[in-house]
Amino acid sequence: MTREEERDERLGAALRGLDVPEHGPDFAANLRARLEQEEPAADADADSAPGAARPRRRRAAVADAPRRRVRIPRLALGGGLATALAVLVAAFLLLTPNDGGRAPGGLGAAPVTAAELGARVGDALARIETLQAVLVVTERPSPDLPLRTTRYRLLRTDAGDERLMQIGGGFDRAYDAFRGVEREAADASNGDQATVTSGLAPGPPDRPLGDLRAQQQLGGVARALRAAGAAPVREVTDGGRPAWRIAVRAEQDVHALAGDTGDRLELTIDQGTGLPLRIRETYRGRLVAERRLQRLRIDAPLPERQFDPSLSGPATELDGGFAQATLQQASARFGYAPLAPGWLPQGFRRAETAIAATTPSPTGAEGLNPPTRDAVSTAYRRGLDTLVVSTRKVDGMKWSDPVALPEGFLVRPQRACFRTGALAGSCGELMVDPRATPHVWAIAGGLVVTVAGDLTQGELERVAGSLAPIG
Amino acid sequence: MTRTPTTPADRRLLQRAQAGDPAAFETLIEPHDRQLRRLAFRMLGDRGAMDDALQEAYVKAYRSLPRFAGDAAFGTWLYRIVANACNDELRRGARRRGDTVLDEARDVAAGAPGPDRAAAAHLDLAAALDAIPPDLRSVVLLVDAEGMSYDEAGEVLGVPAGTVASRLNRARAALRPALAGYGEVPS
Repeated sequence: MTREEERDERLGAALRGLDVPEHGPDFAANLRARLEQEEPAADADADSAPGAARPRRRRAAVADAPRRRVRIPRLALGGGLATALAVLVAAFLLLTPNDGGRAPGGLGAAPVTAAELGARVGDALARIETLQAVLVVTERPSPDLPLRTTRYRLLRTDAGDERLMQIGGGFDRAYDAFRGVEREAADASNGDQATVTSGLAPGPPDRPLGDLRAQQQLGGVARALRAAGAAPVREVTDGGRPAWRIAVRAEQDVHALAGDTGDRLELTIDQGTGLPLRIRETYRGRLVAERRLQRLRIDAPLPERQFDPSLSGPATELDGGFAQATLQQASARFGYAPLAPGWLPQGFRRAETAIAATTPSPTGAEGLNPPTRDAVSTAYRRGLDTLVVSTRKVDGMKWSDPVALPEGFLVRPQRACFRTGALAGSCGELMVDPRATPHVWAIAGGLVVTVAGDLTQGELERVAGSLAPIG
Repeated sequence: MTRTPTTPADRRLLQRAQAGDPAAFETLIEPHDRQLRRLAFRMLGDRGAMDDALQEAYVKAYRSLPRFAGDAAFGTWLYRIVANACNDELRRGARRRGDTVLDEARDVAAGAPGPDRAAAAHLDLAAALDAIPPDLRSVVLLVDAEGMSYDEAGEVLGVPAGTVASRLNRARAALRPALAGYGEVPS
């Protein structure tokens, strides 16, 4: 061993002497069950020398196979959600040879309905661990200006991280979900200084579920398809790849009267991956926006420090007021037991919890709700899907929907009354409007409660009805 | 530690595992399991998270095994998968440090009636390890605890050997004060 590689034997011995627990009682059985679900490569030969072979394919999940961690590929999705239309991004898939990363499995039989196609898209999104792509956005800055195309590099992970970086300079924003920090680089074209915002909540109502240009493209497409009813699905070819295409009617809002947003969406879904290829948004036949994804890589390793990049130059530091904590710490700090769901759609796992005694930004439409006090916000994740459950004190004040859209959107919330869980006996509002993140909110037990995320209406209602104070 | 199947029996085991024999795969990884448990537990601080990360890692290794050509040592290859799985768990916020410290404190309290210097020293080192960032924790575990070279550790973590060395210096500086209680208690 060289001098430069000297090992600290005393430290090493001490580290090796620390206790190491045995596996839990179910570990071996669960592992064996999962290994047995894996199909061997078709051309592997036990007598041949080890060498490259096709990766194993995962068998369809067996319903009764025990798993320590639930990552079930097939989901039961349904319901009637429409999609957000003001900002939609389509994914145009151009897989290149030796692209790296995981090639998602095939989708089986072609869907015959929009709802089935929506379920396939949702299924694909729920399985993704990392997504890298070039996002091409074509839109008009205003109705009287010509179309302009901007290209971004997009990164997303199933831990909630996101990076959107304009190719050629300009916009660059990175969100590190683990630390609750967002970094936005200085934009020389606008004269903007860099900004670092720490203390961010994991999601609504205190922050959106990612950049609109990136977030709503994926979950939004799935929701649009599930709400498309009996709209016919056509088989097409897009960029040489077999795809499905469907046209859906877009909900209007006040901006659409001026041609800002569309009245029709044409969605193209890649048959190989189940991911959106392209979305064309038109208003009375005139192109309003088109979104595509190119150079898509799924589950490929990401370079380091993509979500906490170094910023050059001075940066304005902001604090969103939240800090990561456990639910138990939140309870001890705020004097009330936070709520946690007793039921979650298959595949969702609890991720991070953040708490805030107060925040600089009130919630609700145009920020008109009372100041937030003693808020607890917990994210649950499944692939690229995120669900956030939040509570904050009512403080005797009057509250409106904390997750509401800004003015100008014709929203139609539904009244929702609960008979089970911590919300039993209370009524609130359920929002499954195309332009909003699906959510439900209510007031119960002195708390303003929200459940928001990439769920169907039925799933939202069930999660909300299962909320209970932590033990 | 970086045992690679070299005997005919080992190579046969590897071939069977690559062909899709779960029992062969389990036999293949068993000699590495304790060290991998140590790495995962000390990275994540919780048995549940340790099992989560290891199960994910072992399944990924099983899936990737047909592509393992033996260019790298098998143990190094496996360590890399486990280290990545631990980092994934950390990024998902699976770490529950408070629980770990409480568990160890209870174990100490249940033991000898009086002060237990050896147990206290263990707690100090475990707490000190727990307190350093994950990227420092991983290098000191791989190099000092598991005996890897800087190159091997760099291969596991996907960083240059120089980065291993610099992180190791910082980790050791943070941990050595916690060794004060070691060496004073008879083994």
